Amino acid sequence: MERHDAIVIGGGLNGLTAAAYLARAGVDVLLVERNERLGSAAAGFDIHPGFRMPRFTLGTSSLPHHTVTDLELPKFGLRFMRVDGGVSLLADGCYHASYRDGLMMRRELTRHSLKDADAWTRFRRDMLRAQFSLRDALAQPMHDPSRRSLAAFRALLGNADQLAIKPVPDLHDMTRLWTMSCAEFLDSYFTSDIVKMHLAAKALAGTTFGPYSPSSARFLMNLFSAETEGAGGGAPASVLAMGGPQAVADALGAAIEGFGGHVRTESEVTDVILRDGKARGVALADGEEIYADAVLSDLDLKRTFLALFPWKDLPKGFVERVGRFRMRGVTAKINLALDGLPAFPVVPDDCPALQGGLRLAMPMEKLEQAFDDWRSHMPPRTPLIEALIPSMSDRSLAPLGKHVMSVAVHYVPEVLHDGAWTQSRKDDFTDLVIGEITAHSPGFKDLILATETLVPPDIESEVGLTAGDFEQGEMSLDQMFFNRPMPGLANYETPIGNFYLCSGSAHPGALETGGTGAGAAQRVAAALGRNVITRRGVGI
Amino acid sequence: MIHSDHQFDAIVIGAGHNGLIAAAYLGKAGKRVLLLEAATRLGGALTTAEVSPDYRVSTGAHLLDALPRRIEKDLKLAKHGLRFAARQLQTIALDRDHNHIVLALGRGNLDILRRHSAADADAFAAYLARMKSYSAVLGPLLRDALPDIEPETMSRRLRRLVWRAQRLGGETLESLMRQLPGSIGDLLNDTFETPLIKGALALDALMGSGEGPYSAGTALTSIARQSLRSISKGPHSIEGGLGGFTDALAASAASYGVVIRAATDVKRILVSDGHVYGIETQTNEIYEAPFVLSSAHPRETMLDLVGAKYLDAGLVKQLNEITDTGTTAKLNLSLDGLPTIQGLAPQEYGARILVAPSLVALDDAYTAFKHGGIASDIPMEVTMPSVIDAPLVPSGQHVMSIVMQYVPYEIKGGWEQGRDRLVDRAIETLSAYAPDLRQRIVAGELMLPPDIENKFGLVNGGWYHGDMRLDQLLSFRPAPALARYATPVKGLYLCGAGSHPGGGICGLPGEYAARLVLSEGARA
Repeated sequence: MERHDAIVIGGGLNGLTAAAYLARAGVDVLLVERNERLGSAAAGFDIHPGFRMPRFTLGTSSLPHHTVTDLELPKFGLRFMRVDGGVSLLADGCYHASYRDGLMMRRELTRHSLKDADAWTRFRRDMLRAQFSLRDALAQPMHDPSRRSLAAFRALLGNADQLAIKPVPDLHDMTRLWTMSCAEFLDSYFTSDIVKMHLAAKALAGTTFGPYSPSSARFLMNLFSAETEGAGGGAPASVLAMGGPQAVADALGAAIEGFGGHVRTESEVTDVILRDGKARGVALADGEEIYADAVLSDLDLKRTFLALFPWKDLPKGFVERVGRFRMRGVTAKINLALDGLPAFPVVPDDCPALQGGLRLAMPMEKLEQAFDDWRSHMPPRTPLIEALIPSMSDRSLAPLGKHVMSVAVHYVPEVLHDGAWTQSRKDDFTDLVIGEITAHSPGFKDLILATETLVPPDIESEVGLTAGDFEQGEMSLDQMFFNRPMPGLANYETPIGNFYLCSGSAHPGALETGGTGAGAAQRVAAALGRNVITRRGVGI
Repeated sequence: MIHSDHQFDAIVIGAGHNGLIAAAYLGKAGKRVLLLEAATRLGGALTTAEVSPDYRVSTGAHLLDALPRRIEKDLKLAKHGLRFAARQLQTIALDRDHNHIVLALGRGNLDILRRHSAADADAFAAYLARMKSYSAVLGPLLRDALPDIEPETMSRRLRRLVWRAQRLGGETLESLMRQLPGSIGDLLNDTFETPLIKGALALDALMGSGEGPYSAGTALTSIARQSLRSISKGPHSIEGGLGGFTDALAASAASYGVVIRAATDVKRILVSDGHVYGIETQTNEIYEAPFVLSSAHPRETMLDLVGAKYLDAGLVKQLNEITDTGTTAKLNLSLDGLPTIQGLAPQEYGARILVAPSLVALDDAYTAFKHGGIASDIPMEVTMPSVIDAPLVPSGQHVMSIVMQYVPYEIKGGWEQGRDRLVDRAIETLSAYAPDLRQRIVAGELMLPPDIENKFGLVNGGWYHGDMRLDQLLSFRPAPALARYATPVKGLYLCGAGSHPGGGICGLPGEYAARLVLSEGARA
């Protein structure tokens, strides 16, 4: 009978991070992944012989600095590249690019508006400040106010005191950032439409919010996640892993084994073994049972509880609460193998910012319309298109002279109001997106050697994300922090003893790649009498 | 000491209800007060006028829903003619199939609700109790005067909030934590299953705001609204329309010696050495006083009347960023008889009637509004005040007062063409419940957001002198440096809806500002 200290179900970035932290803390941990490759949504593949690319995500994902150093990932083969932050193309032939270098960024902004070039300094400062205070908050343990314990009450009183000494203008800035709409917030800095569109499109990509939705401004600070900030005074870099997100997953897998943990792929967990209301292990699809003192799930909340447990074993009312957790697919993925580098005549030759990807920006009104179409489950008419050509900076991904293009299309509904996502609908959708790109890049269509289109239902069935939701639960204010995934479960614990949630459905979710895994590992290690040491929160 | 007739203890700018209340409180304390109003009549958006000859109705706002009894008593409003046509009006949600829901507890009401859904009938009492306990926790924070700026006082206030929250008990606290940051739509979806009750409760929460049922933060703003309303256990209907309320306030103020001048537009507030000393009117008359209170929009007060040169650049920016979203239009109709609403009992015609069949309909209307369009189903709040206040109209006749929600300030193609379409849509929406409405109409008047702006001086036609959103509430209302009624100009105070606790005919900004001026005056 196989037995470990801990079992992690699912090898997404959070599950891998959790297992790696546990292994490093000396816990005998086994990670079980259903697919052949690790990475789940971060997995990559050969779209065409010799063409490798991330299959489900755009491909710019990185890990926070402290995770990389804690887990010694460079030692396990992980290398990151920093490139300039992307280009927005507008239908009328305008473009706007982000540069890491402060002077280049200023020159770029001055092309649109001198005032905006000045406003940039203020915007950048405010976003960095907000980002730092968010990092601080994430480094604190999350107290759940609905848990009625003396410690929690004390912590709350402490929070009240901290709030009371904050200067009101600072609180006001914070409230504005967390409650205002993205469009309105940008208006208080910039005057040029393309500058606003550029920032809004990047901030809102992949979220379930539109530019005019209250509380959408906070996504702007995500553009400035502290780790990617260069010292140059310009825009944050885009960070790409050499070999794509798959390489991040592989390095984490290597780290787990390097620290003495175990990884099993092509093994699907079908049940959590319960005894006396506590998790004792897992049962695999082939009937094998593996036992452990702690079981962690890297599956989203719904999949975890609705699929791994008989509902009758869950507390009364819990299944309904899980059912109310909002998960919505919003992003489709189109993968392209290209015979050569597409040309974008509007952008100067060799513009370095192209390496950071490009977006087809649109006026706020139109973006809001795309968002409203998504909300009413309309087939996409003017979706938000984001593309990355990772082979521009990582030559290992495609044969010489050829390229891969990773296209993420946002505001794509999981369910259409007038029928299913049939193949012909997917073909129409692919044509629409390729047509939009071709409008900016003459001859683009003829470069395509192979395509693959994955709409949210495909992502659900391939990756296992409910509704194809990459955030594993909408990142709305009522599903964040101590409410994630729901009040009472903010500490990675669940109503089932010894059973923990380490997927993005838990805090901090999409706020930090691998953050949930690291947090859950700390919680589980403590339960097992070990200690996870992390540089999280240590000065950057 | 002999006063010239151009010298006062205090000058109040604007005779809306907040200005009147501030002036009355100051007068009551023995101050010589001058109250100036630019329009020819007092009351701001609270007036009664004729829709057509002999048919009178509240022109703008039509219900009084958050005025504390304390103000009523302090200012002896009953003595000065305030009469309620009905206190605590029932709110009724109209149903297409004539099973109209009364939004209140009571066996008969629950029986009707049970016809829609037994589960909802059971959930309703719990929902009301829950909302009540939420507003018990947050209410004091939202409606009491703001504590001073000292961290100790703030801290004490917040600690008390934590304590109140802890006493709620596990489950209520849990749902409060979960639902507070979310949307009213999600909150209602978690509670009820009948589309009608969700639609009606959401409209009740969103009336006058520029946000949709699924906008983040609307759960909180609806609790804020509820806790303001719970002060007066409203809504109430006033005899003679809301002009009757204005008249009583004016009579009360006059009884305390307040000098009221209508049709007197203030051109600027006079400042010397950082201290206010009076005002100058458009006709170049100068009135002097050591205290000036303005119930005008904070931006207008500080930038137009005082001038940006007296303010620091950050404050000017904040004032310029105050948002006002016009979201409502008002339609007043003269009717030659009572329209028949099937399924409505005779005594229910005087109620406050909500037309909002579902969250979906509300959300569609919001989406249309966002993109400068008009929904096919217009959410609305309807009253027929003549049912309970017969002298408003000739015998046997009636007036209908309709507030339409989600009507944009600007519409695609322009209001020139859109006006008739909007009226038509509104009447069509209502005709689904009252098929004979169209035949009853004798005359009507429509006020679009731009009309509301012109007529009542409300920016963009928004009701509140600054939207009631989290970033414009409490210590942020109207801007951090102006949150306690005082301004950087010594002796100048804000006393309008743009100040804490905000709009919604509660009169509290006027009262709190007046009390502050009195205590400062006593100290000086």
